[in-house]
Amino acid sequence: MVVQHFLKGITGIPDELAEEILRSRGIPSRWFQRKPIYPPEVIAQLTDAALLRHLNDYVSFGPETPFISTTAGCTVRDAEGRANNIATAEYVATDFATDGFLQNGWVFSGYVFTLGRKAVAHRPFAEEVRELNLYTSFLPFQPEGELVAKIHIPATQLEKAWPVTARPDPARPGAMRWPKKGGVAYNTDSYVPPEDIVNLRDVL
Amino acid sequence: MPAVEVEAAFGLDPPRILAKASATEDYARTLLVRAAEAEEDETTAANIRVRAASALTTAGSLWSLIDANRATAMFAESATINYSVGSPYGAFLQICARPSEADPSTQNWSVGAGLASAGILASVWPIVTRQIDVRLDQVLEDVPLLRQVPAARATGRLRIPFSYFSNLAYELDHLRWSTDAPRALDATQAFLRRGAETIEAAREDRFHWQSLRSPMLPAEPEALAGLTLVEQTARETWNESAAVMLDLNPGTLPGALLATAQNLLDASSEAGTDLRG
Repeated sequence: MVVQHFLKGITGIPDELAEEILRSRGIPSRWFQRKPIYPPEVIAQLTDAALLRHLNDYVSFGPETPFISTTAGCTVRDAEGRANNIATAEYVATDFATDGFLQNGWVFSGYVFTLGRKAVAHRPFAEEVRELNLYTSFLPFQPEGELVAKIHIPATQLEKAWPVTARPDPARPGAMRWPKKGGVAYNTDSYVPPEDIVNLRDVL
Repeated sequence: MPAVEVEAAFGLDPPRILAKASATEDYARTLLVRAAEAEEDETTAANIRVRAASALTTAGSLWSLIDANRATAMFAESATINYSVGSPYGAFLQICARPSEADPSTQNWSVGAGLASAGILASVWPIVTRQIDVRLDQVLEDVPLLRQVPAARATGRLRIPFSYFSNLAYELDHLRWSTDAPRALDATQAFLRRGAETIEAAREDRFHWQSLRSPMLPAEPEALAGLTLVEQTARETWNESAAVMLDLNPGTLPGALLATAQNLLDASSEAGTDLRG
């Protein structure tokens, strides 16, 4: 098992809600946001087909998806061009948080657990769909560096968050600066550092 | 400069392009500052510069649709970083940055680094700018590797096969030396169609395309590099724009791609760009 850090951008949320997400609420999937869910339903939802719809048909599937998109950045190899193009997690998450650098939003930083292999039906583990050696079928949006969490990312796995504010460039009408990163809010209420739970044993 | 019909041809929203181009440029600047601050750790600094090059290329592609002057500056900076880390993709960027003034070292460099499609464009580049007075075949005598490249080998995100680049280069060479009336520009049209096809397919996913989160850039540098050389050739040979010669509607994707290339050529002609510093 690997503890994998991620970033997630959420656009247009008020500061109070961002603080609540960070400290107690966690990040729910859109499916979980809509209704209470029961274990048998979860089993029916976490399927390969549903994951593919989440990744490739978000416009129609997004409102009911049990999955949660996060990013850890991605290296995209152009073998013939002998170039590696890198989309950083910071760039992707800030883009999503600000809806293309035009609005204000929040970026959350936390961790998920991954297995180093596919485990779609296993709720606790995120899917590393950015990892070509695991997800060998072509995924057009692999460059978003996606790690797909399931149902709900608890606040215990959210370390910190910061507001990002869209910044119009005063010198050029319509142009935008890189969004301003506000003060970092730390989850001092419920965050559990991964160092506390990974399989490293101390002496008695 | 002709306006690129961003909405009609690309199906994109100009204000959104402006926002993303400018913010991405600013992000690249932020990364370059971080790289400078990390200079004592050369590996870290180099890694950050590669990330900056990716951002500069994205910004350059987006700027090329709305502000060619800024685009050439982005492509030039990205080319320099790509060169510094040994990535031959920098050759495409260099042509986009300065199509009207060939850098003679680009050919050897891009071929030596293994990017044949850039190598063949770099080979014809000084011919169409009339910096050398030889035919393409003569130039290629010194680079036998380019004659052994599989025709179907595809390049870049557009996956344009090598044969399209090769046919385009030979067509430009022919046009450069031709005294006949302008002809149909078959290879140019095929190159344009091939580039536009992939973009059209990407556009089908409207959610990612319109939010500029498609894995495909609206104007990929490898396509723009070829098309700027087409425009350069058309102007030098017939004092005419290739778009006019091909009777392309600027509201179509091929027409808009060519208009984008025209603008890069105009911008680079107005302000020379020193790439190697």
